[in-house]
Amino acid sequence: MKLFAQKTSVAASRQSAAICKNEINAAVSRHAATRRFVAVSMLVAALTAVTHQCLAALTDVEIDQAFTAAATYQIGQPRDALARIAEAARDTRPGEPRRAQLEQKMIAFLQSGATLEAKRLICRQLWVIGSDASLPALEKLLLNPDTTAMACFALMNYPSTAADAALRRAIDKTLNRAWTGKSFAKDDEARQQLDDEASPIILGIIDTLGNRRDPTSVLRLSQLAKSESGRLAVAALALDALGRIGTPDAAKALRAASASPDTAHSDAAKFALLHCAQRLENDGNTSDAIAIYRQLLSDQSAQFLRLQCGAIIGLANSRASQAPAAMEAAMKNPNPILRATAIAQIPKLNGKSVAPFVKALTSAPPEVQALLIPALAERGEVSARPAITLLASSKNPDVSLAALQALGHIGIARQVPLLVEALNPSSPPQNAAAALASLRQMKGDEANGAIVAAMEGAPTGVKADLMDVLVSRNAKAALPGMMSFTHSMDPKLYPAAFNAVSRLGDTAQFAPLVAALASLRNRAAEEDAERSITQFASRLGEAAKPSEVVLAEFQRATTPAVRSSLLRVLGETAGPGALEAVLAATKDADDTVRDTAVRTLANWPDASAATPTLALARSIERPVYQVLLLRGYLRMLGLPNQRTPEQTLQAYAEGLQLAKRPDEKRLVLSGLAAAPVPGALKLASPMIEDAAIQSEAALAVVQIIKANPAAERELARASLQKIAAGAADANLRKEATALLGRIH
Amino acid sequence: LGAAASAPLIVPSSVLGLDGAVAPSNRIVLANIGVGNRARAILTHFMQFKEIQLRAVSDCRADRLKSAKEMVDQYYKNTECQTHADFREVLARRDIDAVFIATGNRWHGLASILAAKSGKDVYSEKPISLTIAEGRELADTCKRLGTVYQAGHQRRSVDSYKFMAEAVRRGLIGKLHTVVMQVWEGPAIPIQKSTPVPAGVNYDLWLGQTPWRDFNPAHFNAWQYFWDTAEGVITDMGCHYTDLMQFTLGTDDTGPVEFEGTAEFPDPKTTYSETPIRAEVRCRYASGITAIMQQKGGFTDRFIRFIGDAGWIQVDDQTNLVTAEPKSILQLRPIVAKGWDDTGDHIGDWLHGIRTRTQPVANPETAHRAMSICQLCNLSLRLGQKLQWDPAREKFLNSPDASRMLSRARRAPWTA
Repeated sequence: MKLFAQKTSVAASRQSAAICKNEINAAVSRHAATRRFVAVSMLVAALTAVTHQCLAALTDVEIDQAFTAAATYQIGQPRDALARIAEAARDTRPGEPRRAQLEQKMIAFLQSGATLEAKRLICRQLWVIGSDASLPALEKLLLNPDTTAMACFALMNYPSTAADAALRRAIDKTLNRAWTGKSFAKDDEARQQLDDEASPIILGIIDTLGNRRDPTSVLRLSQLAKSESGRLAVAALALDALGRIGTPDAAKALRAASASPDTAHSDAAKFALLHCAQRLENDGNTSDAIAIYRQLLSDQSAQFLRLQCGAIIGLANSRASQAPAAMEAAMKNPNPILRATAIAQIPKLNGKSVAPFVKALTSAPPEVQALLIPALAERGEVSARPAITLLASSKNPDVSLAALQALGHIGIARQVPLLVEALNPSSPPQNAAAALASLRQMKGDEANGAIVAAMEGAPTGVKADLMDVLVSRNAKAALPGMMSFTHSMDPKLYPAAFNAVSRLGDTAQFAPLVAALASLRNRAAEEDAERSITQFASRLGEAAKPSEVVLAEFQRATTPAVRSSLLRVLGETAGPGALEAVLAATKDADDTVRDTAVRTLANWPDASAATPTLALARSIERPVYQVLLLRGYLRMLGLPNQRTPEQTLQAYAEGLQLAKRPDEKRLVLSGLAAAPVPGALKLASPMIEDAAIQSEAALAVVQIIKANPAAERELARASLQKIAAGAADANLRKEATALLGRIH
Repeated sequence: LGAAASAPLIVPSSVLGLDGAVAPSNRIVLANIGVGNRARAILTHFMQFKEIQLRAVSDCRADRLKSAKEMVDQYYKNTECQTHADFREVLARRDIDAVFIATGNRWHGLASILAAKSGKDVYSEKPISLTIAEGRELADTCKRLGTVYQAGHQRRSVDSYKFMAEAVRRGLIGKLHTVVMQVWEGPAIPIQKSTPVPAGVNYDLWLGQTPWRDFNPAHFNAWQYFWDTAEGVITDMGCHYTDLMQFTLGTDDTGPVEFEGTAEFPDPKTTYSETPIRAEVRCRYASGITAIMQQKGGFTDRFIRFIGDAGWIQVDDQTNLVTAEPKSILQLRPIVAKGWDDTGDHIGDWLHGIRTRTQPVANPETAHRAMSICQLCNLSLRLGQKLQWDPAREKFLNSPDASRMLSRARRAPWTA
């Protein structure tokens, strides 16, 4: 009965698998060209769930077949059998009978004559799914130098402490020494020297035990950590492993080892002790950790500098009450590394204990001041603000730079004048850059007011910098002040003001800014101001109706210079009414206004101006304007538009009638090639005969025919024959010949 | 064990000579570990700093070692660059203060830990670790020993990305809800016949801590796409973007809490590589922000985009082009020229850290957090599971299997 139920289940799962395989195949076919396998977790989450179920339906027989095939696997062969085993493993969960069954097959595999590479890949599966059941098989692998690494890989995160016991036993067996519970038994047969076979086994196991933090192995590791001849690498790694285990017992063992007369061994033990302290601290055993840090702080060995640095860091991290004093002492040490390390811990201290360091700001040598300043600023130490403000004027460049940078963190409105002063052209460039950054970074709206106030009387360049700062601070309250600078006579100042207002302002500022452009008293930099207004209009968008504002100002303007300036802006903003105004201005009595209007029309940003531009090109007398307008017209034909194909053809035909120069004809050809409307070939084809533009014409004709080979076949054939026979470009001749074949 | 007792005295620039030359006591003597393509691309960025003296290079491949020495000697116009086939010789040298690590990914984390234990400061290329546990070990080691460590997450020091981060932080795209990161499709490396180890290669050292496997050119030349020696494109490139995401969100000491994804893997019948070809993983922060890591498209299509309820901002990594909606955001950007391929500012930040014994911008904790997001993405793909993660304790809440994949045993003698 049980067997029957199993068979039914298998049949059902096979049916399910068949359905799933169809779905997978459909997915695979979409990527058939890449010949890539679509694995379980592909495409979409919904399908993934199905494909999981599908692959989980591998039968016992199929799994056995996979193991059989995998047993002979060598690198350089297909790995699908191993992939199937991996999928089967992945589709089980801890505690499921299927996982236990699969593990049994893996155990048998490890005990078989399978290749080492195949066993290694099975160990990779046990790394994730292995249980105590596979420990005996893995323990055997531990004892073989060829397989010990793969066994350690598998055992790394076995949840049970039985894995630790297996690892410990493997040490004893490899050393051929019995463990009494406290030490290794004396045995004449024991390995005194670790040979090439034993060494990787012992090292791998020690490392694994250390990473597993096995507390029971502390005594064994303590024994192995003794610096016996021939085992230096083992001893060093054992010390390191004790540090990683990081229990009070491990600390005790390491303390003992650190008393060794062998300096290298003793130093290694102390570094491991430092590691142990970190582990203790992370585990919540702060008092033991602090005791270790204090011990290491008083160390006088060859490694004292690094150990003292580590101890100070540890004390500061653990918020030990001893930390400030240790740091203060180190701050006065002549060694710059120790000094800097101590000062770098200041941000970790609590409020009161920082007082000695604030006090030292005024008395310490410059190289210490330069370190103290950023450390105190980083923790936002406002009690250090007065001293740091004074140090911003230090003659020592490192100190003044550090202070200016620090004020970005702890400065307030009161420090703004000092920072603004540092922007002065006579200041060192790095100080100016630091001051600028601090002004941007400084917190609080009050600082904005102080920056605005500081602009009064500042040099032009500084004012421009400060306006940029205010923009980046999004200080909208500063807009009136900025607006006042748009009326300046200074051609370096007012463009900066226009720029700042255009970036920071909103609809309310647009009309005043346009009015400011109209009322400029020195127009030397008017084009910069115009550009700012154009960008402002673009940022505000059509909803703000910027062109109406500009148009209204244009209509109020009386002088040619202002009218010209506003015409240029209208040419960028476009919009309702703008085109009419520009067209009217092309008939203005003033030469300057007329010239500007014609050029503006020729540069119009959309296709709406095409027809009047052509009309003007036809009627205007000055040849220069004719050329400008015709070129503008042909450019506009290529812009997005609402014309029918017939209208487009007509438009190009009208343009061609006016085109006198090769350049203009080339523009027509280029436009026809890009928009191959019906009839384009009739227009372009005759130009093949024009020697000045023959190449461009031939290219355009080929492109027009390529876009629509079925149209105007006779003309197309005749044109292509001419090109195939006479075009200068060999590639074009070849292409024309090929096209002729297609037309036939 | 280390050589800090003989480390140079790092003093402020006030002791520099008037001609701008660096006083001998202020020099940082640098050695390089691993001189492949990446190292060769940016070694000059290190050497351009006057306070750096690159004195030694090391690599387990003789051909690379030789050409690297030629490159360094040519730069300094002398023949003084020393070569080491085994980087442990570099770590044992008492005259070396700091190392630049640009090995294959499998060595980045362990070599950094060993260097820190030897008393050297470290600049390491990304990805910074092989496993989440190794990343934690690296961060803890540097913290314990005061090692100044900079990960090669140089985009933190590049203006375009800094601007993007600032724009998001200042709310210019409204309330952030989604981050999209795109890396390129990974290759499928075909099975190849095994060959002898090439002359001049110390293959055991090359493999390092990773499990022994007999030499095969498909693996040797494309190690990035095998679980043992790297973890594919999501970690290799994705860590840059997760780093920027963490940097922008101000979550450098934490990370997302949920990971779920789908992937397309290479066909085991015809290919030897293992890591995904295409993939998409969705990560969720406790704050509700969704991060999408997508592996698709070409190499030049990679980008990172932040999307808020009032707009978005994106940096195209290949071109360094910043785009945004509303476009007005871009007007706030200062004019800048440097892109991700200029690591000078990032190296400068590291040197400042060495002088002041403070951690640089891409310090071990931030780098580990960025990298662990990629590693968690990969674990969700490898296991086909939705993973719930406690970033504070760095533990899984719902998957014993994933918990066991947090660390791997290292192959002796390549232990920490």
